[in-house]
Amino acid sequence: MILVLASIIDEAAASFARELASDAAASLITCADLASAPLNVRHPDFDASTITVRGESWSVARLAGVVNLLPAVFPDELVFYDEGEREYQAAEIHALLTFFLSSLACPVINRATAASLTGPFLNPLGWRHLMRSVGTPLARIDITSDAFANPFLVSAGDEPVEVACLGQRVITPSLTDADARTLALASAGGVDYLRAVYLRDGDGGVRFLSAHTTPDVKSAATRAAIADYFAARRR
Amino acid sequence: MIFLWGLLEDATTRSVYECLDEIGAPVAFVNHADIARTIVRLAGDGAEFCHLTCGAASHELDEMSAAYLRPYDHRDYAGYVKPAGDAPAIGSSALVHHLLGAWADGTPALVINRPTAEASNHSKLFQATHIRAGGFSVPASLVTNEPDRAREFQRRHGRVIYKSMSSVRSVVQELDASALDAIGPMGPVLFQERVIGTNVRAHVVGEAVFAAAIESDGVDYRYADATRMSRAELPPEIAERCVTLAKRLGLVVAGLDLIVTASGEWYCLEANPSPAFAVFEAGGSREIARQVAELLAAG
Repeated sequence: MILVLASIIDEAAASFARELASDAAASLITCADLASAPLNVRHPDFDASTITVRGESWSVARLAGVVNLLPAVFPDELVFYDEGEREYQAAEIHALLTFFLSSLACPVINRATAASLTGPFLNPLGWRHLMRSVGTPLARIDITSDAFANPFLVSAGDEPVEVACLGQRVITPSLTDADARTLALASAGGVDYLRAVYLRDGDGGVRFLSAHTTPDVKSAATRAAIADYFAARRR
Repeated sequence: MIFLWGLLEDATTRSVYECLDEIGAPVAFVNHADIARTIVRLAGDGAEFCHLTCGAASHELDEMSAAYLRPYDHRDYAGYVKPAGDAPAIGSSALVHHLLGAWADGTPALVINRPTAEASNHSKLFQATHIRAGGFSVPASLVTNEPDRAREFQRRHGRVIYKSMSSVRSVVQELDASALDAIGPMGPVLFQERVIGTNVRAHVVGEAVFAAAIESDGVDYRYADATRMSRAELPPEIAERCVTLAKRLGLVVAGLDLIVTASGEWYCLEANPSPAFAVFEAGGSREIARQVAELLAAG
């Protein structure tokens, strides 16, 4: 069973889970399922844990993989709780998922860390520190707390270069040095999936702008790469 | 220069501030309660600079050799106004936290503690995997939304407590099976085997460990009617285990909640990354605060 963990309002994720299910056992799972369907997660004997998928109890040891499209659990996700309870419950389910997604023996795209459910950083500036450490030039940013403007947006006139990789394979190549730089960043960050955005500089090179760890399942190339990734592990 | 961000009304921050003053260390203190007047600017294309102003005070954070950060939830301050629906997705106070967090994670300065390292405390079970790998015993735990499973867990372990899974503070309570009969449908709850023994709080400060034994009549000593604390000495191998665990979690300072059973087994329940150690300083000794100050001054 491959789980696609996503927001209850993520229609692209639901569609992707159906597409994945045409080739292998797969299902969408949401925070609503985790909160209400029978769930038993144990520590230290994590392998004895079970979750319910489409009404059936599954041992975590039988899971073949997880595609996680939720970087964090936000109170707005938990519409099935009273409004006054949502913030507390969001922290609780986030805590549960941090443990669950980091403990599974099967492949998880991407494995949770304490900081984020989809990789090593929740703060996007963390990727800049890491990219700097692997020697890639960075695009200029300027953020002021009293006048916020998203520094990671591509401005008119910029020439963006976008590269995604999965399992140390570039899935949307740019045919620039950004391809190798993205693989290096994914490796340094310990993530299977990474999408990085760069801006071309005046010297023909690229400067790193931002990184994204939630698989873009609206991209046909990404969906195909994820299906191939799991198919290769079944063979 | 040492950057100190917190509240002087908080005894722990105040004791560090006073100890830094006593040893003559230069301090840039920013009152967290002034967050609405605090502006942080982070800019650059690689070697970013981080500039902070608060009223008339102005600080270049890249010039700091060390930082001690004890921020609070700014939404708890009187005067906090929830952003309206058409306001930017992130308010300026929240952005101050994000930018200082990014600076603290990336600066070469000594930081007590880096936000990424503190994050392990947001999931008790995630942290428990590291605690166990660090050589401490951990209580058996079950997260379930099925009352029958909770009953089964209680039958197996005898006394069972329940508490929050996250870093949101909750009062630890012992499970009364009859409460499960009364409860309707429930969301996932963390149940844990209750470990019986002596509570010990160990504060790790770099390579040093300060321990206090806690006698209490309650399940959760923080909320008990009668609690008595006294200085304790840890066996050398347990003190070493504490230091190793803090390092494993990336924490320069940590408050470890330990229980030693009658048979001498050492459990660790949690590693607090921002411990309020002033509460545990016997007789106002401030030896933990002094150690923290010396570490900060050494940079």
